[in-house]
Amino acid sequence: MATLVHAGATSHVSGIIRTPDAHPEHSPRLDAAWTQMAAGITAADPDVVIVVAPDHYETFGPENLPIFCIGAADHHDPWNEHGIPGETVRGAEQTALALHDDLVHADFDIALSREMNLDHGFLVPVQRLGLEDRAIIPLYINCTTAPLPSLRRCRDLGLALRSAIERLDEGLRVAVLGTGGVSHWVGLPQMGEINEEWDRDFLARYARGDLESILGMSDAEITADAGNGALEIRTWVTAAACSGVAGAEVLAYAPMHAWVTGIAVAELEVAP
Amino acid sequence: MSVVGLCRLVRDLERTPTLPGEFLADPEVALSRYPLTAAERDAVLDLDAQRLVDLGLNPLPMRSLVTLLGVPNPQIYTHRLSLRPRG
Repeated sequence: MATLVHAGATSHVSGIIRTPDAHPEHSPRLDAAWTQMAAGITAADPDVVIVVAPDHYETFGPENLPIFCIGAADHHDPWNEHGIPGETVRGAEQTALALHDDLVHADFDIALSREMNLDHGFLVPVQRLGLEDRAIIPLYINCTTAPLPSLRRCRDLGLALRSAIERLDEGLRVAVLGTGGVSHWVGLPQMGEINEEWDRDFLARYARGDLESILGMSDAEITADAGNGALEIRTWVTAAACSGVAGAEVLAYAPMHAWVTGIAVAELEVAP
Repeated sequence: MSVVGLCRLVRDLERTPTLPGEFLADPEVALSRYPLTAAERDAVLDLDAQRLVDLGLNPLPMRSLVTLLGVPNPQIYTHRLSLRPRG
């Protein structure tokens, strides 16, 4: 049986690596949080990191739009959209194929991509957490284009993912990282706003493992209160469900107006 | 489907370094390469963010489209720029 050795969730806006010192007070705290999470991942020493993230119309669009998709390849190239830094990462082709097979047999109709470039949603956290030399399995969740998978479906994906992970090869060490959020509006008139109150309330529920109350939020409510960018909490839900919903430590939160996003870093408790 | 055409236009603008300049030099010719409706062409020429969203373009690629064609990000809904010839 393989083991889930680390789980977490973080924002992925490009400012994290482009302008890391954007705020004199918030930046050091956020930096310390990512450094702490990176150390936690290093200590866990995963063979594979499953990065759960949306795509921002770089890989998927109206010509081909899955709800969920897993990438199985020996490497994943960056899009470097808008000049955002990022390098090719090593994939874990056979492990990803095994996960895909297991999920489909568990009645989870997840798509498969044998060539999946990655945008900043995947590669900003990979870089900030020092995961460039680790094998990465991208797990895409549609967080941008209605109809989105429900939060409950994303929870169920996380549960199925945990079972699939544990059926991987004996001794394999796996980490899961959800990316996106928290409050931000993208391409909408409210762009630039951050709802700190909403963010802190979401993080409080997340920290105490109260996934049920998060699942009760409607997309209309989330969009109105926290922006279309906050629909990315789907990846956080999947990561939490995968970890066993045992709560999390929010390592840092800051309303980073320079990055037009509420930024959070959370390390999940991995339940046995 | 023309929303596919709009998204293809966005990706080309992002990934072809010379295209934004070609576009700004002669937008009508550049647009003619994409299967867009007349309404979509007009919305692009007018750099009209709201109209593009109303026509079905997701705000994410819409934001990319408009900013790649010269509109500052904070002004995508308030600017007075246009790709149409002046006068």
